Amino acid sequence: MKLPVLNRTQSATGGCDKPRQCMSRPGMTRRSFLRRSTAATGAVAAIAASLAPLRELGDSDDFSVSKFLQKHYKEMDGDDMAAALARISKEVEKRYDIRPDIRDIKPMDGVEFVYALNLTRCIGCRKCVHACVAENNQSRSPEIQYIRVLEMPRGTIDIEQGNHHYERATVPSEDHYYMPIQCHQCANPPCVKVCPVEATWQEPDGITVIDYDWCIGCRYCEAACPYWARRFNFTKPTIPKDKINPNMSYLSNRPRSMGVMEKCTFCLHRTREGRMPACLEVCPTGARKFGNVLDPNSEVRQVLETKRVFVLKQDVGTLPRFFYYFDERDPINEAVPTGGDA
Amino acid sequence: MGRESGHAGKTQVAGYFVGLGFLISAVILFVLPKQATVPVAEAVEVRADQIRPGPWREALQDPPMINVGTLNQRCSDCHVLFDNIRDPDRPLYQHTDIVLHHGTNDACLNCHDKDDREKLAIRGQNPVGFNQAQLLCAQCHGPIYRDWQRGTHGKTIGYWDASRGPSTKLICTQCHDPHSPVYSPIAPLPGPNTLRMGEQGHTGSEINENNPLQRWRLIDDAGLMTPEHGKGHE
Repeated sequence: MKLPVLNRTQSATGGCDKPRQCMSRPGMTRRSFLRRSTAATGAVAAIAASLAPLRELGDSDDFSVSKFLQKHYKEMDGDDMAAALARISKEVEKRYDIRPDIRDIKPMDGVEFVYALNLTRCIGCRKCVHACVAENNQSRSPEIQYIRVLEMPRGTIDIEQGNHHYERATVPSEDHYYMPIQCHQCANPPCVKVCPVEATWQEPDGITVIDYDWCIGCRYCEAACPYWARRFNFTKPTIPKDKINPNMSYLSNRPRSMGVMEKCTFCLHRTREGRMPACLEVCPTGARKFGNVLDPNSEVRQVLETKRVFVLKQDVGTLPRFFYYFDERDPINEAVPTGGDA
Repeated sequence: MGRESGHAGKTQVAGYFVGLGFLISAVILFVLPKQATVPVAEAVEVRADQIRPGPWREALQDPPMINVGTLNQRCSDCHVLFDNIRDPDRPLYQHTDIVLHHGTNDACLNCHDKDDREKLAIRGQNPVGFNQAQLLCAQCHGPIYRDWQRGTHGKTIGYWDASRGPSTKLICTQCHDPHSPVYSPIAPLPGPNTLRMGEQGHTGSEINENNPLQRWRLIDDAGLMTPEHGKGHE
């Protein structure tokens, strides 16, 4: 196979043997023109092919021009937010055939939320996990859950020894205790520091939130979180239409799209309107306590003042707003009387 | 000159193959299905009644109504007819479904008022209605009652902010069965499905070495990993 040379510079005429061919451009022969045009066509085709994944955006409602041009949450004024909420409402209606009640709920003055969880009472039934999924419109398939319940061997708080895959006929197991872990809403949150685009930040009431329209999905925050509290949408989340919770807010439980992070927000669409979070209301043992720590009569303040309290991984300096506590007496050991002196 | 043009010719040929490679990859990208297959766990079914908020159990109200036989009846419907004789050895003909499992507190009239069966007995004070059961329980369970008053024991549902709406503080009998107050074990809801960790043991006794969260099961009493896995525990 003998192929001609592209840049022919052997002769003084610039590789032009016949004068007529040199009139248009020196060095251009019919053959070299065909070569170059084939190469150019191939290059265009290759570029088009490399953009092929963009075809997926066509039949997806995750992308729209108004979403692309939307401002950062903190820079939006009332009109911008109204437009964004209208767009989201329309998207939700198209996807799930339901008109959501979606608002942008601002933090309350003089409120700092704190959560407390009684390890003596938790029985590991995972009702909080699934109530959270239902309340916050998390993807059912693939499965996204904000709360992990670790089954821990008694006598240690080393969470490396915890197991969240326990499948028992009944809980609790007498040899274990149960430690649910969710976002600790740290006062010094490492996840916020690592975000390269400021898509996540801490609100004045202590809740760390994510603007799902601003997140680029780099997952730095997931890596930075010492409590495994952040979840990533690897693929398009799916929620059955009859399972959608229409009570939504911009920063918490509106449906997410593929490629963004999400996390527990203490149910801010409920708690900023004075209600209790979903995980607390479903707990059958009352192990969960929530409230405003600035109110001296709140239940969480009473827990902090009168109970033995600890935070998880205190040494990493994240200053969590999620406290674990325990009672002086142990109901599980009392349930199994050994000498008949119960 | 001849050697140089031969070298340039080889570069040229290589260039054509690169271009050809791009074209082939372009064709492949267009022909192949749009999305890579992502392993996705199937949705688990959780019924709405399994995650129902609110009280754990139905407590008797004031006045208490119970189902004896077929009808809902007030306690006094029967108990005004019968003498209230306190005889602990007397066999029960009614209320035989009640299993008393309350430690040393093993007699009906310790809690139920002797003269008014629609009330609960408080030592040295007037009897209270069934909706005030916490006052009865407080007679023995002082520290728990103290915690309940503070809000560190028990459950409050509704609004944490009293200015926004009502909050309901559940009383003892809305969670505990007063005849058998210790919680019975219940079936847990389905656990997380983490595909990347491989098949998980379903009985809870199998050890999955792939799962870093289950490796603690390989540790024996002395704090060492079992020898067949050959890893020392630091």
